[in-house]
Amino acid sequence: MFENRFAFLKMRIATLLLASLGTLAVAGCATPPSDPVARTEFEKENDPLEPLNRAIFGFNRTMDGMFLRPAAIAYREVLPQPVQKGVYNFLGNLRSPVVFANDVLQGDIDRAGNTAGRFAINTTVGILGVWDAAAELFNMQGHSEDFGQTFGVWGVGEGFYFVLPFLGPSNPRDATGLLVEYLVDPFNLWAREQNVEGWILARSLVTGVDFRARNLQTLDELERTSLDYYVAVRSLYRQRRADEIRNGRPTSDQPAPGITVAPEGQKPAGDDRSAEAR
Amino acid sequence: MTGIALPFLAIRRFLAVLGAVLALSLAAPAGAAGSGALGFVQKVGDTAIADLTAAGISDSTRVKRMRKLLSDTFDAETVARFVLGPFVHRASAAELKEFMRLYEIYVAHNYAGLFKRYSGEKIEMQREQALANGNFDVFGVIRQPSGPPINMEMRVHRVNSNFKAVDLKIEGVSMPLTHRKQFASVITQRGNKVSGLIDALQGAVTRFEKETPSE
Repeated sequence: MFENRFAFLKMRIATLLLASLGTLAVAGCATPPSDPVARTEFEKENDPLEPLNRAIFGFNRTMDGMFLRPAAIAYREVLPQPVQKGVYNFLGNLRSPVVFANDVLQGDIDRAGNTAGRFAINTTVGILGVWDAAAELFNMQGHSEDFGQTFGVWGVGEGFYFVLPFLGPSNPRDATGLLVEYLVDPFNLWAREQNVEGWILARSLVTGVDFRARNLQTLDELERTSLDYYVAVRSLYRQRRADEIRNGRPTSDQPAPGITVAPEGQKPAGDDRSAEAR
Repeated sequence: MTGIALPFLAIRRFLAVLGAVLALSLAAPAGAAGSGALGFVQKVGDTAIADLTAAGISDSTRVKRMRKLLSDTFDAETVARFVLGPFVHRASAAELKEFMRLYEIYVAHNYAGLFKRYSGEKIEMQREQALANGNFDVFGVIRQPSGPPINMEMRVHRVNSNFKAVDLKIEGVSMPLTHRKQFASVITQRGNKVSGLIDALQGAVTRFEKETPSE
Protein backbone atom coordinates (compact mmCIF):
# COMPACT_ATOMS: atom_id res chain seq x y z
CA MET A 1 0.00 0.00 0.00
CA PHE A 2 2.72 2.38 1.05
CA GLU A 3 4.73 1.45 -2.03
CA ASN A 4 1.72 2.13 -4.24
CA ARG A 5 1.23 5.56 -2.74
CA PHE A 6 4.91 6.27 -3.18
CA ALA A 7 4.76 5.23 -6.84
CA PHE A 8 1.66 7.38 -7.32
CA LEU A 9 3.45 10.35 -5.76
CA LYS A 10 6.45 9.81 -8.01
CA MET A 11 4.15 9.72 -11.04
CA ARG A 12 2.41 12.92 -9.94
CA ILE A 13 5.75 14.68 -9.53
CA ALA A 14 6.94 13.45 -12.91
CA THR A 15 3.71 14.65 -14.57
CA LEU A 16 3.99 18.04 -12.89
CA LEU A 17 7.63 18.34 -13.93
CA LEU A 18 6.83 17.40 -17.52
CA ALA A 19 3.92 19.84 -17.62
CA SER A 20 6.03 22.71 -16.28
CA LEU A 21 8.86 21.85 -18.65
CA GLY A 22 6.36 21.90 -21.50
CA THR A 23 5.10 25.33 -20.45
CA LEU A 24 8.65 26.59 -20.12
CA ALA A 25 9.52 25.21 -23.54
CA VAL A 26 6.63 27.04 -25.14
CA ALA A 27 7.53 30.24 -23.31
CA GLY A 28 11.21 29.76 -24.10
CA CYS A 29 10.82 29.43 -27.84
CA ALA A 30 13.01 31.75 -29.80
CA THR A 31 11.47 34.30 -32.14
CA PRO A 32 13.20 34.14 -35.51
CA PRO A 33 14.94 37.43 -36.33
CA SER A 34 13.42 39.55 -39.08
CA ASP A 35 16.78 40.45 -40.62
CA PRO A 36 17.23 37.99 -43.54
CA VAL A 37 20.93 37.19 -42.91
CA ALA A 38 20.39 36.86 -39.16
CA ARG A 39 17.39 34.66 -39.88
CA THR A 40 19.41 32.29 -42.07
CA GLU A 41 22.04 32.03 -39.34
CA PHE A 42 19.32 31.45 -36.73
CA GLU A 43 17.81 28.63 -38.78
CA LYS A 44 21.21 27.01 -39.31
CA GLU A 45 21.87 26.94 -35.58
CA ASN A 46 18.90 24.67 -34.86
CA ASP A 47 18.47 26.00 -31.34
CA PRO A 48 14.72 26.77 -31.26
CA LEU A 49 14.63 26.92 -27.44
CA GLU A 50 17.52 29.37 -27.18
CA PRO A 51 15.92 31.72 -24.60
CA LEU A 52 15.00 28.79 -22.35
CA ASN A 53 18.40 27.19 -22.97
CA ARG A 54 20.18 30.40 -22.03
CA ALA A 55 18.15 30.53 -18.81
CA ILE A 56 19.05 26.92 -17.93
CA PHE A 57 22.66 27.60 -18.94
CA GLY A 58 22.63 30.57 -16.54
CA PHE A 59 21.16 28.38 -13.81
CA ASN A 60 23.84 25.76 -14.40
CA ARG A 61 26.54 28.43 -14.23
CA THR A 62 25.16 29.66 -10.92
CA MET A 63 25.08 26.12 -9.55
CA ASP A 64 28.58 25.59 -10.88
CA GLY A 65 29.82 28.77 -9.23
CA MET A 66 28.16 27.91 -5.93
CA PHE A 67 28.89 24.20 -5.65
CA LEU A 68 30.70 22.39 -8.43
CA ARG A 69 33.61 24.76 -9.07
CA PRO A 70 34.45 25.24 -5.35
CA ALA A 71 34.20 21.47 -4.86
CA ALA A 72 36.50 20.92 -7.86
CA ILE A 73 39.03 23.44 -6.51
CA ALA A 74 38.95 21.82 -3.08
CA TYR A 75 39.27 18.38 -4.67
CA ARG A 76 42.30 19.49 -6.64
CA GLU A 77 43.94 21.32 -3.75
CA VAL A 78 43.29 18.77 -1.01
CA LEU A 79 43.72 15.38 -2.63
CA PRO A 80 47.22 14.36 -3.73
CA GLN A 81 47.69 13.93 -7.48
CA PRO A 82 48.00 10.10 -7.34
CA VAL A 83 44.70 9.87 -5.47
CA GLN A 84 42.98 12.05 -8.08
CA LYS A 85 44.42 9.85 -10.80
CA GLY A 86 43.18 6.78 -8.92
CA VAL A 87 39.66 8.22 -8.75
CA TYR A 88 39.75 9.04 -12.47
CA ASN A 89 40.95 5.51 -13.30
CA PHE A 90 38.37 3.92 -11.02
CA LEU A 91 35.49 5.86 -12.57
CA GLY A 92 36.74 5.05 -16.06
CA ASN A 93 36.98 1.36 -15.27
CA LEU A 94 33.49 1.37 -13.78
CA ARG A 95 32.16 2.65 -17.13
CA SER A 96 34.00 -0.04 -19.13
CA PRO A 97 30.98 -2.33 -19.60
CA VAL A 98 29.06 0.58 -21.18
CA VAL A 99 32.04 1.46 -23.39
CA PHE A 100 32.37 -2.21 -24.37
CA ALA A 101 28.67 -2.47 -25.27
CA ASN A 102 28.96 0.62 -27.46
CA ASP A 103 32.16 -0.61 -29.13
CA VAL A 104 30.26 -3.78 -30.06
CA LEU A 105 27.13 -1.91 -31.16
CA GLN A 106 29.33 0.23 -33.41
CA GLY A 107 30.85 -2.93 -34.88
CA ASP A 108 34.31 -1.95 -33.70
CA ILE A 109 35.58 -5.34 -32.60
CA ASP A 110 39.20 -4.19 -32.14
CA ARG A 111 38.20 -1.48 -29.72
CA ALA A 112 35.74 -3.82 -27.99
CA GLY A 113 38.59 -6.28 -27.44
CA ASN A 114 40.76 -3.50 -26.08
CA THR A 115 38.04 -2.36 -23.68
CA ALA A 116 37.35 -5.92 -22.46
CA GLY A 117 41.06 -6.58 -22.00
CA ARG A 118 41.57 -3.34 -20.12
CA PHE A 119 38.60 -4.09 -17.87
CA ALA A 120 39.92 -7.56 -17.03
CA ILE A 121 43.44 -6.32 -16.32
CA ASN A 122 42.51 -3.16 -14.45
CA THR A 123 39.84 -4.76 -12.29
CA THR A 124 42.29 -7.42 -11.13
CA VAL A 125 45.91 -6.28 -11.43
CA GLY A 126 44.81 -2.66 -11.24
CA ILE A 127 42.99 -3.20 -7.93
CA LEU A 128 39.36 -2.53 -8.92
CA GLY A 129 40.47 -0.10 -11.58
CA VAL A 130 42.33 2.36 -9.36
CA TRP A 131 45.57 1.73 -11.25
CA ASP A 132 45.56 1.80 -15.05
CA ALA A 133 47.76 -1.30 -15.29
CA ALA A 134 46.64 -2.05 -18.87
CA ALA A 135 48.02 1.26 -20.14
CA GLU A 136 51.17 1.23 -18.06
CA LEU A 137 52.17 -2.40 -18.43
CA PHE A 138 50.80 -3.26 -21.86
CA ASN A 139 50.35 0.14 -23.50
CA MET A 140 46.64 -0.58 -23.97
CA GLN A 141 45.24 2.95 -24.01
CA GLY A 142 41.63 3.51 -23.04
CA HIS A 143 38.92 5.34 -24.94
CA SER A 144 35.39 6.43 -24.24
CA GLU A 145 32.13 5.67 -26.01
CA ASP A 146 28.50 6.27 -25.14
CA PHE A 147 25.08 5.53 -26.62
CA GLY A 148 24.76 9.01 -28.12
CA GLN A 149 27.91 8.32 -30.13
CA THR A 150 26.60 4.90 -31.16
CA PHE A 151 23.35 6.45 -32.42
CA GLY A 152 25.54 8.94 -34.30
CA VAL A 153 27.54 6.11 -35.89
CA TRP A 154 24.25 4.50 -36.91
CA GLY A 155 23.38 7.69 -38.74
CA VAL A 156 21.05 9.37 -36.24
CA GLY A 157 21.41 13.14 -36.52
CA GLU A 158 21.96 15.29 -33.46
CA GLY A 159 18.67 17.17 -33.82
CA PHE A 160 18.08 20.47 -32.08
CA TYR A 161 20.30 21.72 -29.30
CA PHE A 162 19.17 21.99 -25.72
CA VAL A 163 20.68 22.47 -22.29
CA LEU A 164 19.74 20.09 -19.49
CA PRO A 165 19.58 21.34 -15.92
CA PHE A 166 22.74 20.22 -14.07
CA LEU A 167 23.89 18.02 -16.97
CA GLY A 168 24.60 20.75 -19.52
CA PRO A 169 24.65 20.75 -23.34
CA SER A 170 22.72 18.03 -25.14
CA ASN A 171 20.32 17.17 -27.94
CA PRO A 172 17.59 14.54 -28.40
CA ARG A 173 20.09 11.93 -29.63
CA ASP A 174 22.60 12.39 -26.81
CA ALA A 175 19.94 12.80 -24.10
CA THR A 176 18.35 9.52 -25.22
CA GLY A 177 21.81 8.00 -25.02
CA LEU A 178 22.19 9.26 -21.46
CA LEU A 179 18.85 7.77 -20.49
CA VAL A 180 19.71 4.41 -22.04
CA GLU A 181 23.04 4.41 -20.21
CA TYR A 182 21.32 5.22 -16.94
CA LEU A 183 18.97 2.29 -17.44
CA VAL A 184 21.43 -0.36 -18.60
CA ASP A 185 24.69 0.49 -16.83
CA PRO A 186 25.51 -2.67 -14.82
CA PHE A 187 26.56 -0.60 -11.80
CA ASN A 188 23.18 1.15 -11.79
CA LEU A 189 21.37 -2.17 -12.24
CA TRP A 190 23.28 -3.57 -9.29
CA ALA A 191 22.57 -0.49 -7.14
CA ARG A 192 18.86 -0.67 -7.90
CA GLU A 193 18.83 -4.40 -7.19
CA GLN A 194 20.53 -3.86 -3.84
CA ASN A 195 18.32 -0.88 -2.99
CA VAL A 196 21.34 1.42 -2.70
CA GLU A 197 20.31 3.93 -5.37
CA GLY A 198 22.19 6.62 -3.47
CA TRP A 199 25.36 5.13 -4.91
CA ILE A 200 24.23 6.10 -8.41
CA LEU A 201 23.94 9.72 -7.35
CA ALA A 202 27.23 9.57 -5.45
CA ARG A 203 28.98 8.21 -8.51
CA SER A 204 27.50 10.98 -10.69
CA LEU A 205 28.61 13.63 -8.22
CA VAL A 206 32.17 12.32 -8.03
CA THR A 207 32.27 12.04 -11.84
CA GLY A 208 31.11 15.66 -12.09
CA VAL A 209 33.68 16.94 -9.60
CA ASP A 210 36.47 14.96 -11.27
CA PHE A 211 35.52 16.29 -14.72
CA ARG A 212 35.29 19.86 -13.46
CA ALA A 213 38.62 19.58 -11.63
CA ARG A 214 40.37 18.32 -14.76
CA ASN A 215 38.90 21.16 -16.82
CA LEU A 216 39.16 24.03 -14.33
CA GLN A 217 41.62 26.15 -16.28
CA THR A 218 40.22 25.29 -19.71
CA LEU A 219 36.66 26.26 -18.78
CA ASP A 220 37.72 29.36 -16.84
CA GLU A 221 39.84 30.48 -19.79
CA LEU A 222 37.01 29.82 -22.25
CA GLU A 223 34.61 31.85 -20.13
CA ARG A 224 37.10 34.69 -19.74
CA THR A 225 37.86 34.97 -23.45
CA SER A 226 34.40 34.32 -24.94
CA LEU A 227 32.30 37.11 -26.38
CA ASP A 228 29.24 34.89 -26.00
CA TYR A 229 29.97 32.03 -23.60
CA TYR A 230 26.67 30.28 -24.29
CA VAL A 231 27.36 30.13 -28.04
CA ALA A 232 31.00 29.15 -27.47
CA VAL A 233 29.93 26.16 -25.36
CA ARG A 234 27.21 25.21 -27.87
CA SER A 235 29.69 25.25 -30.74
CA LEU A 236 32.36 23.38 -28.79
CA TYR A 237 29.88 20.74 -27.71
CA ARG A 238 28.71 20.11 -31.27
CA GLN A 239 32.21 20.01 -32.72
CA ARG A 240 33.53 17.73 -29.96
CA ARG A 241 30.61 15.32 -30.29
CA ALA A 242 31.05 15.16 -34.06
CA ASP A 243 34.76 14.44 -33.54
CA GLU A 244 34.02 11.77 -30.93
CA ILE A 245 31.56 10.06 -33.25
CA ARG A 246 34.30 9.94 -35.89
CA ASN A 247 36.69 8.64 -33.18
CA GLY A 248 38.98 11.55 -33.98
CA ARG A 249 39.34 10.63 -37.63
CA PRO A 250 39.85 13.67 -39.85
CA THR A 251 37.12 15.02 -42.04
CA SER A 252 39.27 15.69 -45.10
CA ASP A 253 38.02 12.68 -46.96
CA GLN A 254 34.57 14.21 -46.80
CA PRO A 255 33.42 17.43 -48.46
CA ALA A 256 35.75 20.14 -47.21
CA PRO A 257 34.43 21.69 -44.02
CA GLY A 258 34.97 25.12 -42.62
CA ILE A 259 37.07 27.43 -44.66
CA THR A 260 37.26 26.93 -48.36
CA VAL A 261 39.64 29.02 -50.36
CA ALA A 262 38.24 29.97 -53.73
CA PRO A 263 40.22 30.99 -56.79
CA GLU A 264 41.52 34.53 -56.69
CA GLY A 265 38.92 37.23 -56.80
CA GLN A 266 36.25 35.18 -55.07
CA LYS A 267 35.97 35.28 -51.33
CA PRO A 268 33.48 32.72 -50.12
CA ALA A 269 32.49 32.65 -46.50
CA GLY A 270 32.28 28.87 -46.46
CA ASP A 271 29.52 26.73 -45.11
CA ASP A 272 30.13 26.13 -41.46
CA ARG A 273 26.97 24.28 -40.53
CA SER A 274 28.04 20.99 -42.06
CA ALA A 275 31.46 21.31 -40.44
CA GLU A 276 30.01 21.72 -36.98
CA ALA A 277 27.42 19.02 -37.06
CA ARG A 278 29.33 16.37 -38.94
CA MET B 1 58.62 -22.87 -22.02
CA THR B 2 61.62 -21.01 -23.44
CA GLY B 3 61.53 -23.38 -26.36
CA ILE B 4 58.15 -21.98 -27.32
CA ALA B 5 58.78 -18.42 -26.24
CA LEU B 6 62.02 -17.90 -28.13
CA PRO B 7 60.74 -18.47 -31.67
CA PHE B 8 57.71 -16.45 -30.77
CA LEU B 9 59.88 -13.54 -29.63
CA ALA B 10 62.02 -13.85 -32.74
CA ILE B 11 58.94 -13.69 -34.95
CA ARG B 12 57.65 -10.71 -33.04
CA ARG B 13 60.98 -8.92 -33.43
CA PHE B 14 61.07 -9.75 -37.13
CA LEU B 15 57.55 -8.40 -37.55
CA ALA B 16 58.44 -5.24 -35.64
CA VAL B 17 61.47 -4.64 -37.89
CA LEU B 18 59.44 -5.39 -40.99
CA GLY B 19 56.79 -2.96 -39.78
CA ALA B 20 59.36 -0.24 -39.23
CA VAL B 21 60.93 -0.77 -42.68
CA LEU B 22 57.52 -0.69 -44.33
CA ALA B 23 56.54 2.45 -42.46
CA LEU B 24 59.78 4.14 -43.50
CA SER B 25 59.47 3.11 -47.13
CA LEU B 26 55.91 4.36 -47.22
CA ALA B 27 56.78 7.60 -45.48
CA ALA B 28 59.88 8.39 -47.53
CA PRO B 29 58.32 8.95 -50.96
CA ALA B 30 55.49 10.92 -49.41
CA GLY B 31 58.01 13.12 -47.64
CA ALA B 32 60.14 13.55 -50.73
CA ALA B 33 57.20 14.45 -52.92
CA GLY B 34 55.48 16.44 -50.13
CA SER B 35 54.28 19.94 -50.78
CA GLY B 36 56.18 21.34 -47.82
CA ALA B 37 52.94 22.02 -45.96
CA LEU B 38 53.90 19.60 -43.21
CA GLY B 39 57.27 21.26 -42.77
CA PHE B 40 55.62 24.66 -42.62
CA VAL B 41 53.24 23.63 -39.84
CA GLN B 42 55.97 21.81 -37.92
CA LYS B 43 58.06 24.98 -38.05
CA VAL B 44 55.13 27.04 -36.76
CA GLY B 45 54.79 24.63 -33.84
CA ASP B 46 58.50 24.69 -33.05
CA THR B 47 58.61 28.49 -33.26
CA ALA B 48 55.58 28.78 -30.98
CA ILE B 49 57.17 26.61 -28.32
CA ALA B 50 60.58 28.29 -28.58
CA ASP B 51 59.30 31.87 -28.60
CA LEU B 52 56.26 31.73 -26.35
CA THR B 53 57.51 29.49 -23.59
CA ALA B 54 60.93 31.11 -23.16
CA ALA B 55 61.79 31.39 -19.48
CA GLY B 56 61.29 34.75 -17.83
CA ILE B 57 59.31 36.54 -20.55
CA SER B 58 56.50 38.78 -19.38
CA ASP B 59 52.86 38.26 -20.29
CA SER B 60 52.85 41.30 -22.57
CA THR B 61 55.97 40.09 -24.42
CA ARG B 62 54.28 36.72 -24.89
CA VAL B 63 51.22 38.42 -26.37
CA LYS B 64 53.44 40.53 -28.67
CA ARG B 65 55.26 37.43 -29.89
CA MET B 66 51.96 35.64 -30.35
CA ARG B 67 50.71 38.50 -32.53
CA LYS B 68 53.82 38.24 -34.71
CA LEU B 69 53.44 34.47 -34.99
CA LEU B 70 49.76 34.86 -35.92
CA SER B 71 50.45 37.43 -38.63
CA ASP B 72 53.34 35.34 -40.01
CA THR B 73 51.29 32.13 -39.97
CA PHE B 74 47.68 32.91 -40.81
CA ASP B 75 46.06 34.33 -43.90
CA ALA B 76 44.46 37.11 -41.88
CA GLU B 77 41.99 38.29 -44.49
CA THR B 78 40.68 34.85 -45.40
CA VAL B 79 40.21 33.99 -41.73
CA ALA B 80 38.57 37.36 -41.01
CA ARG B 81 36.13 36.87 -43.87
CA PHE B 82 35.31 33.37 -42.67
CA VAL B 83 34.69 34.36 -39.06
CA LEU B 84 32.44 37.23 -40.13
CA GLY B 85 30.40 34.75 -42.16
CA PRO B 86 27.55 36.21 -44.20
CA PHE B 87 27.84 39.50 -42.30
CA VAL B 88 31.12 40.20 -44.08
CA HIS B 89 29.12 41.79 -46.90
CA ARG B 90 27.80 44.36 -44.44
CA ALA B 91 31.26 45.49 -43.37
CA SER B 92 32.71 48.58 -44.99
CA ALA B 93 36.38 48.43 -46.01
CA ALA B 94 37.27 50.48 -42.93
CA GLU B 95 35.25 48.19 -40.68
CA LEU B 96 36.88 45.09 -42.12
CA LYS B 97 40.31 46.61 -41.53
CA GLU B 98 39.46 47.57 -37.95
CA PHE B 99 37.94 44.16 -37.34
CA MET B 100 41.10 42.43 -38.61
CA ARG B 101 43.29 44.56 -36.34
CA LEU B 102 41.20 43.84 -33.25
CA TYR B 103 40.70 40.16 -34.08
CA GLU B 104 44.44 39.55 -34.22
CA ILE B 105 44.92 41.10 -30.76
CA TYR B 106 41.90 39.19 -29.44
CA VAL B 107 43.22 35.83 -30.69
CA ALA B 108 46.74 36.61 -29.43
CA HIS B 109 45.39 37.18 -25.92
CA ASN B 110 43.20 34.07 -26.18
CA TYR B 111 46.10 31.80 -26.99
CA ALA B 112 49.06 33.40 -25.24
CA GLY B 113 47.63 32.11 -21.96
CA LEU B 114 47.88 28.52 -23.17
CA PHE B 115 51.62 28.85 -23.68
CA LYS B 116 52.04 30.43 -20.27
CA ARG B 117 50.94 27.14 -18.74
CA TYR B 118 53.40 25.21 -20.92
CA SER B 119 54.74 22.13 -19.19
CA GLY B 120 56.93 20.33 -21.72
CA GLU B 121 54.44 19.51 -24.48
CA LYS B 122 55.85 18.72 -27.93
CA ILE B 123 54.19 19.37 -31.26
CA GLU B 124 54.67 16.55 -33.73
CA MET B 125 53.13 16.94 -37.17
CA GLN B 126 52.73 13.59 -38.87
CA ARG B 127 51.19 13.76 -42.30
CA GLU B 128 49.65 16.02 -44.86
CA GLN B 129 46.79 15.58 -47.25
CA ALA B 130 46.19 17.60 -50.39
CA LEU B 131 42.62 18.83 -50.84
CA ALA B 132 40.82 19.54 -54.06
CA ASN B 133 40.84 23.31 -53.87
CA GLY B 134 44.57 23.81 -53.36
CA ASN B 135 44.41 23.48 -49.59
CA PHE B 136 46.41 21.06 -47.52
CA ASP B 137 45.42 19.54 -44.22
CA VAL B 138 48.34 18.79 -41.94
CA PHE B 139 47.71 16.36 -39.10
CA GLY B 140 49.69 15.80 -35.95
CA VAL B 141 49.59 15.56 -32.19
CA ILE B 142 50.57 17.56 -29.19
CA ARG B 143 52.46 15.16 -26.93
CA GLN B 144 51.94 15.81 -23.24
CA PRO B 145 54.42 14.73 -20.57
CA SER B 146 51.53 12.97 -18.86
CA GLY B 147 48.18 12.23 -20.42
CA PRO B 148 47.15 11.11 -23.88
CA PRO B 149 48.30 12.89 -27.05
CA ILE B 150 46.04 15.69 -28.27
CA ASN B 151 45.04 15.64 -31.94
CA MET B 152 45.83 18.73 -33.92
CA GLU B 153 45.06 19.71 -37.49
CA MET B 154 45.98 22.79 -39.47
CA ARG B 155 44.67 23.71 -42.90
CA VAL B 156 47.02 25.72 -45.06
CA HIS B 157 47.06 27.06 -48.59
CA ARG B 158 49.75 28.51 -50.82
CA VAL B 159 50.31 32.23 -50.96
CA ASN B 160 52.98 32.97 -53.59
CA SER B 161 55.80 30.56 -52.76
CA ASN B 162 54.88 30.20 -49.11
CA PHE B 163 52.05 28.77 -47.05
CA LYS B 164 49.47 30.49 -44.90
CA ALA B 165 47.13 28.82 -42.43
CA VAL B 166 43.37 29.21 -42.67
CA ASP B 167 42.12 26.87 -39.95
CA LEU B 168 43.36 25.30 -36.75
CA LYS B 169 41.60 22.41 -35.04
CA ILE B 170 42.41 20.90 -31.68
CA GLU B 171 40.62 17.60 -30.95
CA GLY B 172 38.26 18.35 -33.79
CA VAL B 173 37.36 21.83 -32.53
CA SER B 174 38.06 24.61 -35.01
CA MET B 175 39.16 27.93 -33.53
CA PRO B 176 37.78 30.08 -36.39
CA LEU B 177 34.49 28.17 -36.49
CA THR B 178 33.93 28.69 -32.75
CA HIS B 179 34.64 32.40 -33.21
CA ARG B 180 32.36 32.62 -36.21
CA LYS B 181 29.44 31.24 -34.22
CA GLN B 182 29.99 33.68 -31.38
CA PHE B 183 30.47 36.65 -33.68
CA ALA B 184 27.24 35.93 -35.56
CA SER B 185 25.42 35.89 -32.22
CA VAL B 186 27.02 39.17 -31.08
CA ILE B 187 26.20 40.87 -34.40
CA THR B 188 22.58 39.67 -34.20
CA GLN B 189 22.26 40.94 -30.64
CA ARG B 190 23.73 44.31 -31.62
CA GLY B 191 21.43 45.45 -34.38
CA ASN B 192 22.79 43.11 -37.09
CA LYS B 193 25.73 45.46 -37.58
CA VAL B 194 29.42 44.60 -37.82
CA SER B 195 30.12 47.80 -35.86
CA GLY B 196 28.38 46.12 -32.89
CA LEU B 197 30.88 43.28 -33.04
CA ILE B 198 33.78 45.71 -33.36
CA ASP B 199 32.59 47.46 -30.17
CA ALA B 200 32.36 44.12 -28.34
CA LEU B 201 35.82 43.09 -29.53
CA GLN B 202 37.23 46.46 -28.53
CA GLY B 203 35.73 45.96 -25.07
CA ALA B 204 37.30 42.51 -24.74
CA VAL B 205 40.69 43.72 -26.00
CA THR B 206 40.66 46.64 -23.54
CA ARG B 207 39.87 44.22 -20.72
CA PHE B 208 42.63 41.82 -21.79
CA GLU B 209 45.13 44.65 -22.02
CA LYS B 210 44.22 45.82 -18.53
CA GLU B 211 44.87 42.28 -17.28
CA THR B 212 48.19 42.18 -19.14
CA PRO B 213 49.87 45.54 -18.46
CA SER B 214 52.85 46.32 -20.69
CA GLU B 215 56.19 46.82 -18.97
